[in-house]
Amino acid sequence: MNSIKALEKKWYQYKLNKNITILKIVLAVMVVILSIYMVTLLYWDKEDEKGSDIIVKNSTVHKEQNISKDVNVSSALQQTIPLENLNASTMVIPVVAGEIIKVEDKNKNINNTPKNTHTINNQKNITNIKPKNQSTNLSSSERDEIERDIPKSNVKINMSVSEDNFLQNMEEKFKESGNAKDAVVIARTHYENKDYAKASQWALKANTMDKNLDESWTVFAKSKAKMGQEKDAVKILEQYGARGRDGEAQALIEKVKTKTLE
Amino acid sequence: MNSRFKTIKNLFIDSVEINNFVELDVTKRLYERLEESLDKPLKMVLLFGKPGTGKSMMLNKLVINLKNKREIHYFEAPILTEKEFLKSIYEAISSKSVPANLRVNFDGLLKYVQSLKGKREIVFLLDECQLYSEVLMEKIRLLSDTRVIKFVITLHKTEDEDLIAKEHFKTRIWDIIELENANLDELHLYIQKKLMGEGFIEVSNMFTQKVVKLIHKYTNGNFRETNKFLYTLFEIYEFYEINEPHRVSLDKMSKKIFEMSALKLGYLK
Repeated sequence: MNSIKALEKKWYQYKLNKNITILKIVLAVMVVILSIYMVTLLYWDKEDEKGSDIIVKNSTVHKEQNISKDVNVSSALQQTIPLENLNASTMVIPVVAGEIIKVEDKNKNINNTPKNTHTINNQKNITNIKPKNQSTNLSSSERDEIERDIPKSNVKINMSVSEDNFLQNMEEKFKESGNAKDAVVIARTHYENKDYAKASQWALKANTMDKNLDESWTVFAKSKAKMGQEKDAVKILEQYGARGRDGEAQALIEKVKTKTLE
Repeated sequence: MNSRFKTIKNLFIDSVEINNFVELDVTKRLYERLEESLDKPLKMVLLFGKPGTGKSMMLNKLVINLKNKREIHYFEAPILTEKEFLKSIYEAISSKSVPANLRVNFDGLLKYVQSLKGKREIVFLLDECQLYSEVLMEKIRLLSDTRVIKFVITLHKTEDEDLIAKEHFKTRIWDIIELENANLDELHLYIQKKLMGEGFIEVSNMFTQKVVKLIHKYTNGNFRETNKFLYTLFEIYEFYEINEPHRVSLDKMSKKIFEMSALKLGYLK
């Protein structure tokens, strides 16, 4: 219980850290957006100021060229801006009579276009970049690899030949070894093959050699039952049960009586 | 108080018992291939893959299915000393015990095995062969050359796989069967079959595609890692079902419990 509670605590800590990380990311993104916005705003403001300067200068001196720097504005206004040249795009700055405003000679600054306009023609036309031509067909080596990986079709094998060999092999082995366990294997195999007579013979042989082999009892009894000799089967199982295997014996006896043996 | 999650978690105890075998298309196909390879006139079959891909389970299934059809012996744990190894081989073939003060002479064993040619076909399943020494593997090769004994050996997949590449094995290996981690669909099916096989349909429905995808991301589809993860998950579910039942709902997977399992096993930090 304590370990789960400790794990729960760890999970709360993990959630907290995760939320803090998300918050940090959100804040960072907001800062970036704000910075971009501020920079853009400042840049636009500067552009506006330059633009208004140019317009004012244009409106005051467009008719006059080579004006001297210090000009008496009131006289300049009266003399240089005809009314028909004033329009909505020009700004007329109200000036106090007699105030001197420095005026730029328009001829000097006529080519003050921003630098970036020069790059328009030099910009790479990205639509000219062609995507890499990729083939979607498999190469011959890729095809070979796939064919190699395809599993071979199922081959049906007649197992009965090897089963006969198996019994022969086991009988050979038993002849040499004289081991009761080998006899049990043979008995069991005959039982599986529904040859109950041979199964009971071999089981009895094994049981005679070694009464401690549980399967020698059970295969013997089951074979008897399958041959219709249920009473004998029950007697065998009762003897088996008396050897301290009462549980298993009773279960099998029940199956023999109800004819539900596998 | 009994929790159903106690039963469920025990389904995912990592073991090679045949009851725990879940048949998927890919495992069924590989198993059939393994069984077929024993009928071929061969010397060795190599079963290899990363840990947790089901090699030992496959060998166990082979023994259970074929014990009444073939003379088959399974060495689950590797026998690392030559003396014990030869003794085990001899005792399995002859069904006789070797006294403790005697040792089996390899040449003698080889002659004895050769004398069985044409009379018997014996299959030995050797698990975890990457732990056997080169000298022992050489002896295995020589025994397989008699054509009386067939060896099915399992190896962990390594980066260099130099044992497989060595010339003296290349010509002797008939079939190489590789077990891999499960893909997403296979993993989903594995979990569903495990749960539905025991009647836990509601719990099985908690494992949506999204949940399984996350599990696959953590465990790479490795069966052992997946079992470990699910065992941990249901262990936590068991705790909450007993102590705080209001936290347990079978409508959907609890994100909290899922993340707690991942934290415990180090998938999340």
